[in-house]
Amino acid sequence: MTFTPQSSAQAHPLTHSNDTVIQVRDLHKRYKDIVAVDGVSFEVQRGEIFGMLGPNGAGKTTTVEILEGLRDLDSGEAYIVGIDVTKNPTRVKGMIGVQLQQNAFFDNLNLKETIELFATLYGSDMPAEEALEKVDLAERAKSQYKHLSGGQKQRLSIAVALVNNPVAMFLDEPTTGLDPQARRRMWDLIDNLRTDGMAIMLTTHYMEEAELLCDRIAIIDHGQIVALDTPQNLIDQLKTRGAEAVRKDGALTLEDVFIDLTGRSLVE
Amino acid sequence: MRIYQAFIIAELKMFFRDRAALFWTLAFPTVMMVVFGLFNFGSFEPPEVGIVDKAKNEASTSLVSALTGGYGGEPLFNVPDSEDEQSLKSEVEDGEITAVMVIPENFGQSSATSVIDITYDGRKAQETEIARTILTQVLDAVFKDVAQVPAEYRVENWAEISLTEVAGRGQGYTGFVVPGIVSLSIMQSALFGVVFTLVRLRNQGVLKRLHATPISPKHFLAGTLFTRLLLLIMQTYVLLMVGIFVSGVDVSPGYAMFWLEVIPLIILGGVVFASLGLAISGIAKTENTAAPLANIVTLPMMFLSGVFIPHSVIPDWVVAFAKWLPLTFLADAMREMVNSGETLLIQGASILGLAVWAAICFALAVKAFRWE
Repeated sequence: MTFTPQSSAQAHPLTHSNDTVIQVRDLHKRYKDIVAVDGVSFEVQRGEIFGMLGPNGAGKTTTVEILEGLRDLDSGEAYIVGIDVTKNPTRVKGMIGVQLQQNAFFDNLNLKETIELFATLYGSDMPAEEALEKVDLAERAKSQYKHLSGGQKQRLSIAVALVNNPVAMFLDEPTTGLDPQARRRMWDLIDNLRTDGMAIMLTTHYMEEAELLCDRIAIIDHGQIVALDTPQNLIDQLKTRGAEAVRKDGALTLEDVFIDLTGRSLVE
Repeated sequence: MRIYQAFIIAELKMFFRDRAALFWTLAFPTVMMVVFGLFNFGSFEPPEVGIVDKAKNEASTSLVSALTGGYGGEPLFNVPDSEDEQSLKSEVEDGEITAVMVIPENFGQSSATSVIDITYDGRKAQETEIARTILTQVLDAVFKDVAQVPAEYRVENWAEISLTEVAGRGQGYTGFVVPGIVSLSIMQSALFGVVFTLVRLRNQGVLKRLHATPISPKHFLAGTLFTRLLLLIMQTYVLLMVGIFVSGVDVSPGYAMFWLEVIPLIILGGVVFASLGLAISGIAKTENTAAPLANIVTLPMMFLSGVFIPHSVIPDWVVAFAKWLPLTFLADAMREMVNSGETLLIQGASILGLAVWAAICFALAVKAFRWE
């Protein structure tokens, strides 16, 4: 597996509006006295990896979980391939792939059994071997979930998310807590998912991850999108504003973009 | 249908792979049965002997008073209220009392030797021997002091004691405690099993992941409930076998249909306690609050529902409350069926009680359930 995000980004231009998979318009959500999402709008196309970058509590997970049919919204609209998520949550759940932030499966089931169980829940007949093959876990088919490493657990959750051949994939902080090697392997895997033509929405608070993987990035802070563009454009725009780089070599990164837009750095 | 099936198969696999759960489900109740069988709390009580007084004369009244503590002091016999010979004898056969003594009409008359008949439960020979010894001494005292029979008329064989053995169907304290522990195990395993499984799955995030699939809660809950009921049936069969082969209890003598009829009873009890477990796991936020909550619900029932301690030795005002507990209904029905070979249908009141509890608890469970 080689890691070439830029080439795939170019293979999927953003101009095909009839290829829109995820649509969000003016989304609002508050929990009691905390405003979690405050007027978020964006679209994600087929074959695109769309990143949502922001600190903890910025509203990333709430936005994603509304799209996954796990939370109600207060106002606004959310569609997956034109289907209203709030009106048809069950139908939407069957069409998307989901990796939750705190994803977990049954400890005492092996990987093959886990995939088979979830394939049944999604009404899919994808063989377990095929799903495990895609995430390079075929040789661990007989291992119980509890015996997997953190990276393997994350890859299994991607395999499970693939059982229904989804039109959209939601990855909520897929590499948080992984060691650098496992993280890199996960990036390769996510980048390869692009070739299946689905829309991928990824939340992260790792700059490097967003920069490497995402075709476009929304920077979110206090429930609002403060910038939305390709990583390169975000950096270029910063250059024209004449901002200083954090890095000693003077090269501007997304980190600088974030500091410039929010007035603080991302805390990992 | 495939979804229910998939959940049931997956959960059965998980249960049998979880060695610790298996151990607590079966080993703990087995140990309790053996230990409580050894204690035999029943023998600490004075022998329970029914008295039928056919003579109703001065001598017989004195005898009865002496035995029941009418002259002060502790009663020597524990005497039930009834004086009806037939019903008392059937209580002996049912194992509810140790023996019945019948004082003949000619008791206390000098003309003939009167014979006091003691009909006793064959398996309680030891208690009966104690009762006979007490009676012999009391008879002597009654003739000497109370009835003031002159010494020259006092002969050894003025009253004789004849013992008649009957084969009792009841099973003594072991027979009492084994169906009690079987019922208690249904409660513990249904309630704690569900509580700990659900709270763990919710904390780990497995429930949330299931929520993200296009299934409805009923698929998962019905799968969980059905699996638990299957396990409860297996568990109850195993524990009844332990009762037969280890504790020597005669389970449902002469009524083989018991083994089928007990299944609806297990299911009814299982639905009550598994639903209660679901409700508790919905209310409790973490395992740390779930455990005390589950204990608050189960501990009073453990002691008040007639599992180890018969309701006859608990104060009436406590029984007035305790008789409505779901475990009381379950243990009562189970005990009647196990000990006396009664049919399920005779347990109407207990079944109705359980059914009402099942409806209440199921409604609570549905209301309290949450994925995260």
